[in-house]
Amino acid sequence: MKRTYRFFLLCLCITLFALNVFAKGVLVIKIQPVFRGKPLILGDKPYVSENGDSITIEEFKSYISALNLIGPKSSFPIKNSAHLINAEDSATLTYTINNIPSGVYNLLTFNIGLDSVTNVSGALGGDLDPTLGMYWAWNTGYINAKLTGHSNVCQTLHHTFEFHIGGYMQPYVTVRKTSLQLPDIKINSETQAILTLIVDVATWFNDIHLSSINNVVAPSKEAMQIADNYMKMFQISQSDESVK
Amino acid sequence: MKNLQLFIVTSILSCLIIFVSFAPIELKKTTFIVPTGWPQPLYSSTKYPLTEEGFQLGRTLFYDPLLSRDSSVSCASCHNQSNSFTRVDHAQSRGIEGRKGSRNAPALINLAWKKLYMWDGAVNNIEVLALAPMTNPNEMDETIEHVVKKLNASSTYRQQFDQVFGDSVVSGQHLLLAITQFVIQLNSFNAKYDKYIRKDIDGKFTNEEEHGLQLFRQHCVACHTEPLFSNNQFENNGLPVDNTLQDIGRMKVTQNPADSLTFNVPSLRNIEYSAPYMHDGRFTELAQVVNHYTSGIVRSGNLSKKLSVPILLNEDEKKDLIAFLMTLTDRDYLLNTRYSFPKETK
Repeated sequence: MKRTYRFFLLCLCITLFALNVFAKGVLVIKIQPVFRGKPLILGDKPYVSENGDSITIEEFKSYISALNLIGPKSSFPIKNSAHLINAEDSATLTYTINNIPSGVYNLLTFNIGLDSVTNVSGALGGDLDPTLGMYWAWNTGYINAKLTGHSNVCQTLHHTFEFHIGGYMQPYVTVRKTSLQLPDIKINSETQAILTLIVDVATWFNDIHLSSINNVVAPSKEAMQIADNYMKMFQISQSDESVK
Repeated sequence: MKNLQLFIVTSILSCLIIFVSFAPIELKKTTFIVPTGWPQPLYSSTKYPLTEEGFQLGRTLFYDPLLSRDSSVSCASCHNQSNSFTRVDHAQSRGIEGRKGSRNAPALINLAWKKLYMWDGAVNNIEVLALAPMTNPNEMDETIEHVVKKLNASSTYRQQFDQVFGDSVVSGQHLLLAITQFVIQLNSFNAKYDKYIRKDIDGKFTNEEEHGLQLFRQHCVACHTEPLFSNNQFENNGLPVDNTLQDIGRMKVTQNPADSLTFNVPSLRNIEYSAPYMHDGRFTELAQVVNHYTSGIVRSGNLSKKLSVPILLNEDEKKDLIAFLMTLTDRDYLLNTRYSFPKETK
């Protein structure tokens, strides 16, 4: 029996050693939708775009995917990280990344939208489930991001504007890569790092005249223009850390 | 030492017992048959294995009008087994409330060997194929969100989905994957033609059929490539444009002028039973189809290169060609009770 005890003790030591060497941490990303700095409230609240147009926002949804956390010494690509942000659903505004190797990170890169592989992979689940209103049936593929609302400058029924931006095939590829410089984020097993991202939907309207471009619901030149705009919608707000 | 051995043996045994009692009930795995001499299918189910239970769930869904907004039409309404899973009495398919689509419902045959789906290739993966008719206003006019809601309200369906996918909450993904399990097994490879190729005893061709095959290989095979009878490409076969439909074909999807008036080359298997013909169902007889290729082609700018040499056939040759096309009829497919309305589950 003495031998068994010794064996267990050895196992315990090895496990503890391994835990120490491969210590993993957690990063919580909080997403705050805003319109030119003001918190985004869906519905009747009017906002004014850079062009001076009065706008209300009805719906805002966006995929982020292929997240990669990069530090001076190492990088950590997060597998299957496609996540749907929905301004209407506060649960989707927090995104937790587990099992990050301990270390310092100062760059976050990710895609706004989904890559072509995801677009041809058939019926997917979770955040990619086709019931989430982000899948086109008439011409299969995902909508990368959606922004709809009203503005008096739109000569449309109920003054509606509708942007369903998607397309994964040339010449209209609407996924956009974004990279954000972070203040040094320390990941370790004791604390939980928190990163707040601001997502400013006002960027969608940069150089867009709503009176003429207000219904973009298929891959097109206009969709590409809006994709170039939403590429800049994410900004770093602050980073924080809290004890687990 | 003896104690230790006993300890190890009992531990292993108890672990095994725990593992077995918690293991899911074994589903009946189905093997996807690839006939000898055929290319490998382009689709394979990698997300969940093909199972008998999955196939039967897909079959029930295929025949259930619950998939349409007012529960009036099912997939089978336009994809009737005895017509090779298309619809014989309408040139363009009809949806709920008698609404009229703009295209002829395609036959569902050997779908796992196709690259793109629909006449214009708008669907890029068979797993999402059912979404198009489900949501098209002229077809089922439903939303997948609502179908999933209706399925979750049925304890029978929840139980079946749980059995197949290990989740009693029905998701859009699982709904589509179940339908996929059924439709990819609607496979036809036992026509007289196949028996002829395999040199079976009942695969002897008549002189007319033999001659028809020669003519087919001379004039048609570039697009209708054996053994699937399609080259999986989009071609302009020279049909005059219908002024009421103004259907530009694949260009609608790609917005590329080079794709103007091109349509997916359909398989010719079971063609005897899959009238009407062409993307808009304009021909009801095979003779009309053959006459189109011999004397009806409109020679526009992007006519398929494979049709640049005119096809010249005399009346006897036309008859022989049609005699050969009839050898593509597969009764084992048209009458297969595994594909038919699932009476036992209703």
